[in-house]
Amino acid sequence: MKAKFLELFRKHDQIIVLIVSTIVSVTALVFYYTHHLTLEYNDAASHLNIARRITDSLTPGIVQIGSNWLPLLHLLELPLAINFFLWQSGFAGSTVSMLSFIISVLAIYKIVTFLTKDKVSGLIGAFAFATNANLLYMQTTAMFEPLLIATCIWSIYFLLKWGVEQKISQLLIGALLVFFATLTRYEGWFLFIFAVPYVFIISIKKRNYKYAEGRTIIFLFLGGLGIVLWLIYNQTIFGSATYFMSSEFSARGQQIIWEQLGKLPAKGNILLAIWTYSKAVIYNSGWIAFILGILGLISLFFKKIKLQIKISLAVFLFVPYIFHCISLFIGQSIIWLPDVTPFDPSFFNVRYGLIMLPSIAILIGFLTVRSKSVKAIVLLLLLLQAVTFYYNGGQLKARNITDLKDTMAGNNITDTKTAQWIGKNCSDGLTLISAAGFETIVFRAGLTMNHFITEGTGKYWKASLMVPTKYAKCIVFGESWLDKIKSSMSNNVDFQNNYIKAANYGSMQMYIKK
Amino acid sequence: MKTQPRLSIIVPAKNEAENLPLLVRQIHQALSKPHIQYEIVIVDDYSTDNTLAVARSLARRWPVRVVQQLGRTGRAEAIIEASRHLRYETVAVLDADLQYSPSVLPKMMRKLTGNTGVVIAQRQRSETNWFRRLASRSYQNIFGYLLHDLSYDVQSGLKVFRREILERVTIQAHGWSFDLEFLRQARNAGYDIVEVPILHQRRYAGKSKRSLITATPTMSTAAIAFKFRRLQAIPFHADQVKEKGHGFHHHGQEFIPHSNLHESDSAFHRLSRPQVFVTTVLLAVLLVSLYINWHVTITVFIAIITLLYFTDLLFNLYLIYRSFSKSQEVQITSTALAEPTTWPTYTIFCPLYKEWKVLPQFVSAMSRLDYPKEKLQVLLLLEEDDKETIRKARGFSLPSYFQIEVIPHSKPKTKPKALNYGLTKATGEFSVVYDAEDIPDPQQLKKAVLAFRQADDRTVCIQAKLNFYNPHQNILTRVFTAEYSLWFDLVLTGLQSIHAPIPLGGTSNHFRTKDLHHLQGWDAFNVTEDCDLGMRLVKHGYRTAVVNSMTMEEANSDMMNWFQQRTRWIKGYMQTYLVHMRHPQRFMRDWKEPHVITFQLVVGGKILSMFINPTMWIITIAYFSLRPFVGSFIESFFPAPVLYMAVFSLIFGNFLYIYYYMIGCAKREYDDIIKYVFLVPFYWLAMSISAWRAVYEMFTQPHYWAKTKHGLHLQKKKAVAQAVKVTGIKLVDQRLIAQVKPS
Repeated sequence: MKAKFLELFRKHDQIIVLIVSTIVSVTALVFYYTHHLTLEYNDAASHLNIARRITDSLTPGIVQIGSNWLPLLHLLELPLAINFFLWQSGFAGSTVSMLSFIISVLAIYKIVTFLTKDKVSGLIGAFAFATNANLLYMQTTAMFEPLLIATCIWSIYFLLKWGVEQKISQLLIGALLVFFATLTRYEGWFLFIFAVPYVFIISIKKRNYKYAEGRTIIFLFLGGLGIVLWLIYNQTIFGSATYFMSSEFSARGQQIIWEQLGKLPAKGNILLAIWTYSKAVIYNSGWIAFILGILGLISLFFKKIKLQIKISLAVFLFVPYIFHCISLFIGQSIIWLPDVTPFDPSFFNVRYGLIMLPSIAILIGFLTVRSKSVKAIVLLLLLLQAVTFYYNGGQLKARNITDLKDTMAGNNITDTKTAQWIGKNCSDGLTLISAAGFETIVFRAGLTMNHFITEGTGKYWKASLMVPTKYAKCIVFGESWLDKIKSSMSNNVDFQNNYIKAANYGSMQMYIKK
Repeated sequence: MKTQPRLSIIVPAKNEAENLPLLVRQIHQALSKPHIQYEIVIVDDYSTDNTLAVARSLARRWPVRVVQQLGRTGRAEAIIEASRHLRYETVAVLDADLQYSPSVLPKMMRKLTGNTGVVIAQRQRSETNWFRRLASRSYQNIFGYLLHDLSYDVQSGLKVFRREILERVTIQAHGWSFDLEFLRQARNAGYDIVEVPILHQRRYAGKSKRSLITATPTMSTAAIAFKFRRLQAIPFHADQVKEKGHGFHHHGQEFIPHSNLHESDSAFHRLSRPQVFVTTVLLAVLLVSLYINWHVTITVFIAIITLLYFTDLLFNLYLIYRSFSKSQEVQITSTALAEPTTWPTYTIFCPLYKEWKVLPQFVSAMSRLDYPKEKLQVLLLLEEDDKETIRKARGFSLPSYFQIEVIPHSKPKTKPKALNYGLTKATGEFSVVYDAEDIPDPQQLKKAVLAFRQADDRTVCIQAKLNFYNPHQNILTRVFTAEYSLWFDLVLTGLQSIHAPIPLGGTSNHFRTKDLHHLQGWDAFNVTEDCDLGMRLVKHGYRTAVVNSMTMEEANSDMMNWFQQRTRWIKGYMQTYLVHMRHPQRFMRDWKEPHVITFQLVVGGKILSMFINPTMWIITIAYFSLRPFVGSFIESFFPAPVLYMAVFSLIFGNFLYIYYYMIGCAKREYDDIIKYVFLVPFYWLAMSISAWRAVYEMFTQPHYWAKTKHGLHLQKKKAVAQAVKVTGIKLVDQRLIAQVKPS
């Protein structure tokens, strides 16, 4: 029996890994969906809305992608978000994340196995990854992290493979995956920046300068295409190639407000930046896995792998770490942790630490190479790690998961009630509301997007801010710095004469045409 | 020994009982004295008098044979019927009414010399009534001369001509229209027509069968119909084929392609009649649509070309993917080469034209071939008018397996014509084409033989890969090298993987010689005969495989030379597309291999992209640079789905096409050339200009073969040094070739 299983595994190891990771993924989805947790992130609603708006909007089109976020996630969600149920249930996003998770598990297995020739170590690395509670939750949501992990980790796999075998097809696939990573999130740009000298150095060591030049150009041209296209898109649609950085809706725009409020403590403080991000990583991976990862890093340098590959791997695995530390340091990113940023007791963007999980998992795989006892110990420790995420006060609770706590910061009953009001009272007309400020409300209203006049609806938005009666039946605004409606309506005669206040929940006010 | 002249005289007879006896006697008188052997074939055209009986009685005494008309009645039908019963090589058609004296027959026969094929008895001082004379003159001037440029007495009732004309041409005439069609076809078949004056006498007896009232409209209608009927190419007579090789006449001009490939499968005509009709209809529809609603028409047109552009993009992406997914080449290992075997005879065709300077290099390259020299036949195909090359070639002490063949001057003057000529001299079981500047892999012939043995029966062509030995000579050669790398290492292997029609390279195509004969050789009128043959063999159900062997050749290093070459290639692709779209159903031998679709994409798509791509770029540049003025106007032609498809195709299409060049270079390890690929958009621009030039030449000189100058690399020491470095051998090895004899 055991021999048969081993034989089966030997022949079909990758398929088995895929099947098992699929089962794990689907099980997690069933759990979190039935507990109504897959749409807890406000950003998840935003991503789903963006994908939906490309086809369902007063002004549909590719421009609805906007410039806040890189577009790949939305484009992948698009075919599914066309369906109302898949959009509203969040499955349009969950599907993309789950597929990303499944193939990421395989990638980790393949990286460890390729470099160590030890399939069991590969399995342990994959196990470390696939059993992480935060990741299991995150892969049920319409968030960036799973897709980013998938594109990055597969890029690394092919680039490492190319580094050893020098097949042009591997370099091309690696470049293609970096291209996808650069269109997923800005960590992908950092990966690209690191990958270019990697390709050059490896090539020059293998052959000569001309070879290195050629291979680098080939990698650069495809790998950097995503960046170029994004700049061209911003230039063409918004009139500035760096609009994504400089617009009021951009991360930088938000960071400026936080800085003014004194809530960017890591800016200019490299040690705090490192500490903050490291804690974020630990919150996501867990202490046990983190320490095992450190040990794995140390053990890496004792493994019988070419030095240049070891160094390359180490560098690649730490690219996200370097990126986030620098982002925090220059004030481009924000992470709040209760024990690091005491001014706010909540978790905010702690999920950024999840990006280091693949690196940790791979290093754990390396740690267990060629030692059965180490394998057994590590496996037990990982199981213990998995349990600790769910165990809280004698009970197994999903709420111990850090990334779930992250969602609580943005989750409030006001939004839900406002959304329900809109769904009930405005379904036969258009509602003027700021999507930038209240995307979650728009999502939860349960109406198709062409019921809403938002920033992305061009002439409808502009006209409604001046003469709201032209299009809007309902007007909803609140206390968001991104929301222009309140200021536009404050001295608007057309608004004052023709709309009455119908309801308010918290800071949200709802008006309806008389 | 002088052969006795012999004459078959056709006499169509309808109710001519009274005239026949005297006619036969006059014929005998006219021909017996000069000892002209003759026969008279009287065709009874449903006579109601005793013409048949009289004719039969004449047959008992004189060399007369009587044929009864079958089928429709009419003079034309009678003559055609009689032509099946003729014995002698010279024929006369003589009306039975005795208006034409047979005494002039010997004189007319004497005129039938040289290229003269028809002698007409030109009516002088006619004794017929003025009305008939007027009618006859009018017909001759309007329908004979003005409409058909036949300045002869077309309707003369006495003509003498070579029987071979009737054997070569097909007369589709009825009633009284035989003469016009016959003369038209005779001239088409390349024969000269002369006239001999004759007194047009009164009718001896009986009445004329040609009623002006009924005959004139039918003859006029027929004359007009003939005008619209395309003249077919008239193949050579068997005797001519023996003397000159396979050829034909068209509009009186002689063409000797040395192949009997039918004109419908040849680029001799630009468009077939159905193609002309379809093109005209499409143009008419376009014009009418523009008139009714020009905006919608242009929008639809843009949508169609966008769809084609998008499809071409996806297809090429698929091909590149396929070329990576599986190695498609036939791999012949050194182990296989080393195994003892019997090598078959091999013929190498090498057409040369004004390039004797490259000959020493070619001889060196052939001498290096690792193949039993006693099994080789290298045919140097030289044109008769290239006297310098002939002189120089004969001045070399060529190896014994070289054979110089001088092709008699004829039209068309093309490489495929020369190859066809060479094919008639080929003795090898296998054949290959090499250009004069080629340096093939020494193992190539053996690899090809083994590849054939490995391949299935459907594989009739083995194509070696091509590359250049002067890739670094200048920027043009670098970019050209990138293009070749893409084509041979990615596109062809991708095409092979899906068993698509493969446009062959112009050189290093290996065949079994018998298969070449079966395919009827090359199309002498197609300026990319290689592409055409690649398509044609697919229509026959055959395949091409690519073998792991390389031929190095010279990349064009001169811009004007490149431009001419590229114009020819694009023109050839256009020719190939039009020829093979005459019978596209022949690509559908097997529904599982929809070659008709891949043909559209491989050949049609390649041509179309050269026009569509620059158009899209112009629109894009205009849109962005003149947005305030034309932005909305341009946007109005691009509804959302078309816009997205167009933008995707433009951005990703151009990116991918450039990237493919890079990948091709990387596969060939031309890493230092990769950076030059960024200049490819300029290369494409030059290709687009060539494409327009090709369109122009398609109208003005479709068969013109602009000879590509070779040997330019020999003029530059650096280029020669590079070539030696790339090939690893001396281009000209004096140890392999003997000294040139003083010429």
